Amino acid sequence: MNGVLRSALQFYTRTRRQRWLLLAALLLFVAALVAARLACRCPRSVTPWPFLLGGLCAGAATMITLYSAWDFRRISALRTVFLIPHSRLQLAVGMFLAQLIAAAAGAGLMMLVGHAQPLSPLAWGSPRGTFEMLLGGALSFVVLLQVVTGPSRILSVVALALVAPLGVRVDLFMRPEIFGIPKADVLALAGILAWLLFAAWYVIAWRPTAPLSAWSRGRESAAAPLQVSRQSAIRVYLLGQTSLLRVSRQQITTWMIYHVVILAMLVGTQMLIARHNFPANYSMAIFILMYAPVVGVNTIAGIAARGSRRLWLCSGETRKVLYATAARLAWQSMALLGIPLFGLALIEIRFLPHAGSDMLFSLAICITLTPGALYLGLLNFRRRLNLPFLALYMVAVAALFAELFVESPRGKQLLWIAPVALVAISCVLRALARRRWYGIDWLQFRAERETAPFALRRV
Amino acid sequence: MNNGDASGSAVISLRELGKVIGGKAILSNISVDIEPGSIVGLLGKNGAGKTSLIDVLLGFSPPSSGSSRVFGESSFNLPAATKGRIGFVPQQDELLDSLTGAQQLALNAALHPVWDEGLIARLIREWEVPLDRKIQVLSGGERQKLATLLALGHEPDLLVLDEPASSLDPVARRQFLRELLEIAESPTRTVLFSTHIVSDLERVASKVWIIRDGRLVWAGDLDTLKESVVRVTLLARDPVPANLSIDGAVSQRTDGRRAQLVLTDWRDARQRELADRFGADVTIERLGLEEIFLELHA
Amino acid sequence: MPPPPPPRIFTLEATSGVPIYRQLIDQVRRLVASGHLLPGAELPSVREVAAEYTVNPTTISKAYGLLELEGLVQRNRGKPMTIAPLRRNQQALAQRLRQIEAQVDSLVLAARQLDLRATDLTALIKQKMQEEYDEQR
Repeated sequence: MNGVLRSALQFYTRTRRQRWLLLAALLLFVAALVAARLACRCPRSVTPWPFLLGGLCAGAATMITLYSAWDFRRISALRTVFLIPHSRLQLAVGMFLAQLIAAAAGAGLMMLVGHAQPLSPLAWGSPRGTFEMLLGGALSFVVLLQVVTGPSRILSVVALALVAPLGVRVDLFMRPEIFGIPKADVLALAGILAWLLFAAWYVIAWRPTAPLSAWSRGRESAAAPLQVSRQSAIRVYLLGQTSLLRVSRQQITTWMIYHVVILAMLVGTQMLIARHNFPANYSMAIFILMYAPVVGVNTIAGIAARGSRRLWLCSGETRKVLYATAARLAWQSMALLGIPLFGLALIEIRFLPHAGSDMLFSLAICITLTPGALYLGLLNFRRRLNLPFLALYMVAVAALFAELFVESPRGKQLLWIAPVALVAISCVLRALARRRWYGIDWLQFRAERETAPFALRRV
Repeated sequence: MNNGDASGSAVISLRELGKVIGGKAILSNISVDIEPGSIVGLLGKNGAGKTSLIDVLLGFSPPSSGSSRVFGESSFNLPAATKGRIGFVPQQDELLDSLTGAQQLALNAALHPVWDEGLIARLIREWEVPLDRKIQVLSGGERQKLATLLALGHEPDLLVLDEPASSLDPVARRQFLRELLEIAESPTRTVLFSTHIVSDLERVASKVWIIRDGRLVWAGDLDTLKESVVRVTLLARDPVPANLSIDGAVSQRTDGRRAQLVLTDWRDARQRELADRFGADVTIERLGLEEIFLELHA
Repeated sequence: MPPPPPPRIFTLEATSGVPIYRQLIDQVRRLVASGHLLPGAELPSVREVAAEYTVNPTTISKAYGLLELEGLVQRNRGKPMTIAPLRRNQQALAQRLRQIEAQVDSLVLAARQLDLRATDLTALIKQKMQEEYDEQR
C-alpha cells in the first residue's frame, strides 16, 4: 500500500519539471480566480482575462496529466520494471490513485471559487459534480493517450475515430443529464470503466511496448543508389532516413489517415443517425489537418537536431554550417507539410460546415505556430517529451479558447494580437536556437540509449 | 610529459583541462601529450571521466578551463582538414537503423575525400560483417564491427575508440586487436582507446592513462607502470609499527610482524633498503595491470 | 647455418606483472644459456612476434634493442636478427652471474630465515646442479 501511494505521488512530483508545472498551474489558478473576482465587479465590460488565465491554467493542468501519463508509459517500457513482480499492478493502481488525488485537489480548488461565475454549460456547481467530471475526464484522457501512442496503428486510429464523434454531439456535453443520469456521473463512470479495461490489459499483457514504437517501424527501404553526393549524405545523416520526402510523406500519411477516418465517421453519422436533427460539425476533422504540420515540423526538426552530433566529425563542417543545413531542412519540411495540409484545411473551411466560430482565426494561429514549433524542434536535442513545445501549444489553445467566449467585435479584434505574438515568439526562438547551436555542448545531450524506452530493438 | 614546442609533434595536447557540468567537476587539471605512433590505453572506472575526456578532446564539448589541442588545432573549433584525419568509434554507435550496412558505408564514403575501398572490403570479409541486412536487426557485436569500419575507411591519422570491443566475442576481439596493431605500425598513426578489458590493453598499448574521479593519476609507459608498482611483503623479526611511513605507498596492511604494502615508485635497490631498515625478509610481487588498477582504486 | 628455430619459442603473458619486453629478454637469455638457441640461430622478426602473440611491436623491438646492447644478439642488415657468437670470457661470465644474482639474494634470505649454514646450502646447490647436468646428457 505504501508503494502504491508513493508511486501515485511520484507521478506528479518525480522530476523538477513536473514540480514547476504544478507551481505554475497553482499560480495561474490564483491569477484566474483574482481576475474572475475583479471582473465580477464591473459586469458591463467583458474582459477576456479570466478566460485566458483560466484557459492557461486548464492547459497547465492538462500538461501535468499528460506528462504523468507519458511518464507512466515510459516507466512501463523499461525492462527492469517488467521483471519486478507485481510492478505493473502497482503502477496501474498508483496511476489511478494519482488521478483520484488530482481530481479531489481540483474539486477542492474549484470549491474555493464558489459560485462566483458558474459557467453553464460546464456546470461546475456541486462538489460531487466537479470531482466526478475531473476524475472521469482525467482517466479518459490518460487511457486515450496510452491507446493513441500504443502498440498498433490501427488501434490508435480507431480509438481517435471513436472519440471524434463527440465533436458532433457536443450538445451532449451542454445538457445536465445524459440518458436520465446526471452528466457528471456518466463521465466518471465512463472514465473508470475505460481505466479498468486498460488496466486489465496492461497487467495481463505480455510486454507493454515502448511509446510510439509502432510508428517508428519502417518499411523495407527501397534500394538506395550506392553512390551518394556529399550534400545528400549530410541530409541523410541529419534525418536518419534516406530522404526528406520520405520523412514528410510518413508524417502526411499518418495525419491524413486520421483525417479521412474522422471525416468518414462524421459523414456516416450525419447520413445514418443525425439526418434530421442538425448538420454535422466537421470542425474536428479540420482541426486535425491544421494541427498536423505543427507537430510534423517539430518532429522533423527534432530529428535533425539529434542527428547533428553524428555529423560533427564525419562531415568536417563547422557548427554554423550544420545549423544552417538543419534549419534549411526544417524549413523545407515545413513547406512540404504545410502547403498541402494547410491548403486542404483552407479548402475544407470554405466548403464544409463547421461550428460557428471563425475557423480562419484558428488557421492563422496554427500557421503562425509552426515556425515556433520548428525552432523548438531544433532545440530539442534530447529525445524526451517536448514540454516547451506543449507550453507554446497551450498558449495557442488558450487564445482559441478565449476566442470561443469573447463575443464583442472589439474583443475579437484584440485577439488577433495572438498570431502576431506567436510570430514574435518564433523570432525569439530562432535567436535562441542559433545561439544554442553555435556553442553546442553535445556532452550534455549524450544519447541516453540504455534507459530510454525507444531503445527496445526488435529482431 | 613534453612541455616543449607548442607547434610540436604532439598529436594530442592537453593543458590543465577541466570540465564542469552542473557544478560537478568531471575533469580536473589534466595535462598530457600524445606523440605520434603510440597506442594509448585509457583506463578508469565507470563515471571516472573517460568518455567525457574523449568528448572534450574531439570537440563535442568545450572545456570549462584549460585547453585541448588536436594536431595543433583547438578542439572545439577543429577545421575540416583536421577532422578528416580523425576516426572515432563512439561507445554507443551512431548508426542509422533504417539503412543497410552497405548504405551506411556508402554514406561515410561520400563524406570523406579519401576512402580506402580495398581495406574496407578486406575487413568486411575477415570480420564477417553483414552488409545486406538493416542495421536495426544486427546484433551488438555486428554493429560494433560496422561502426569500427566506418572509422577506418578514411585512413585517419588519429583513431579514437571508446570501448571498442565490449560487445565482441574473443575471436572477434583478437581480430580487432590485430587490425589495430597493423594500423598503429605506421609511425604517423596514433591510437587512443578506452576500455574495461584490461588484458587487451596489456597486449597492445604502449602507454596507459589511468583516470580516477576526473584526474589523471598515471600517464606514461605501460612497462614503466608495471615496473614501478609492486606489492611488497615484509616479514620482520620484531612487530612493525602500524604506520610504516614509506614513500610512495598506496596501501598498507600490518599484522604483527607481517606487513603488506603496494608501492608506486619501485626501484630494485629499495629491496635491500627496506630489508635493512626493518630488519625484515622482503618479497616482491609484480602486479598485472588489473591488480594495479584495483590497488590504485582501493 | 643451423635451421631457424620453430615458432612459439617464447611464452609471453600479457597479463603478467612482468612487462612483456622483460619476459622476452629473460627468455632469450635462458634459451641461450641452456643451449636451445645456438649462436647464429635466427630470431623471428619484430613483426612476426608481434603478429604471432598479438602484442605491441614497440615492446618487442625494445626487447631486441636491449638484447643487442647486451651483446646477446646481433643485427644483420636485410636479414633476421641472430644470436651473437658466445664469448667465453670474464665479461660474459660476470654478466651471467649478475643475471642470477637476484635469485641468489632471495635464496640467501630464505636460508637465513631457516637458519641454514652456507656449507649446507652450497652442498644442496652442487647436488642439484649435478642432477641437472646429468639429465641434459
